[in-house]
Amino acid sequence: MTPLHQQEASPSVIVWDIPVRLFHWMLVALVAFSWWSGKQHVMYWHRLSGYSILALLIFRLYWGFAGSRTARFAHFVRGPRSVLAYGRALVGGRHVAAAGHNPMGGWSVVLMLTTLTAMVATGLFSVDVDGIESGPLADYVDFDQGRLAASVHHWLFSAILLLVLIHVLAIIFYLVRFRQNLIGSMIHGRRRPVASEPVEDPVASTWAALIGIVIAVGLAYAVSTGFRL
Amino acid sequence: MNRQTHSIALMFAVCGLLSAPALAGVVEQVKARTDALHQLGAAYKAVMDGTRANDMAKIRAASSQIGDASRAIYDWFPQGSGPQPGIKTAAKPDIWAQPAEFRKAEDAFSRQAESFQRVAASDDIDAIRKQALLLGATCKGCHDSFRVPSD
Repeated sequence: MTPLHQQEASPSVIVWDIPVRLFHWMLVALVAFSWWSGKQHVMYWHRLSGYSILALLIFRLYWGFAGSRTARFAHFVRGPRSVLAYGRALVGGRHVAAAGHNPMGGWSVVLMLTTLTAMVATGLFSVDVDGIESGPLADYVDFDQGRLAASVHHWLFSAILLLVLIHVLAIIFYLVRFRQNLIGSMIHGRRRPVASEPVEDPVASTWAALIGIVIAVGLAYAVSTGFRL
Repeated sequence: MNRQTHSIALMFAVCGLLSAPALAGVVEQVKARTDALHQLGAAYKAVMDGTRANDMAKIRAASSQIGDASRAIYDWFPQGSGPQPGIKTAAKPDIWAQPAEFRKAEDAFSRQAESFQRVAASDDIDAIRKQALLLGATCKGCHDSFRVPSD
């Protein structure tokens, strides 16, 4: 079995574009910071972190339609038959690396993105027990609704922790069982080519990315003001 | 059971029966207190919402509500209304263990609520925002010392 460092040196293809990779790692840092700031109740920073995550999520949604091949939802969100087939192959040890997210990975991405979106959404309407700290949209709901949003927001965080744990365990599993370094790929964007996959690198348009950033930041800013621009 | 044990058992049974309605009274009292404090949270949210939307009427209505509560609060924590079996409350035993400190906290709330009501009567939204933060800090100060964290 070729050692990992030699596998990286052999001819490689690009699998993840820069926006996807930046999105991923910024999300890791911001979710961790949101966790810490929420626990410490430094709500100014917690809100700022939340708005940043909102911008990232809006961008990722846009990029799922406007990004490079491997970033698009159409590329990695597959039906139940593909998921089952992939699962069976995995269990049978007949793993073939996918160019981008495999069918199971694809759905786990959808699940994580959805849960994070729900987390941000409930935060926007949340109010604390004293009515002192609240999200930017909390004045559109009453105190009890804001408290309900806060409860759901707290509960969802347990779901996120669980999903992150499963995600990390899966990455470790692929590293140990199939010698596939997914962490490296998400950093430098490269991986070993597989015979069955298309030869062309996924191409991301810089203009499309810039437009996405403007949309994401603009919308997140509007939300942060409670649409009181 | 001998006669003495029988008497003691009877005494406990009677005390138990007598205290049941008394406990029921405390339960009512604590529930009323919890509801009132819940309303206070809603009132403070109304203040913050009012400052976002520059809604003076909303701020003034809430400040009046808060003012009333800051005077009523002296009656909300009678002896025997603290944490005990059958009573669900976030009040810490420190309230009754440190009555002088708690009294100071109640007085601080009264003073801040009065100040806020005065400032809210003006049209200076910036002053109102600043005063609201001072009021909130007073709420937080008392809670940090005398309320079990809700997290």
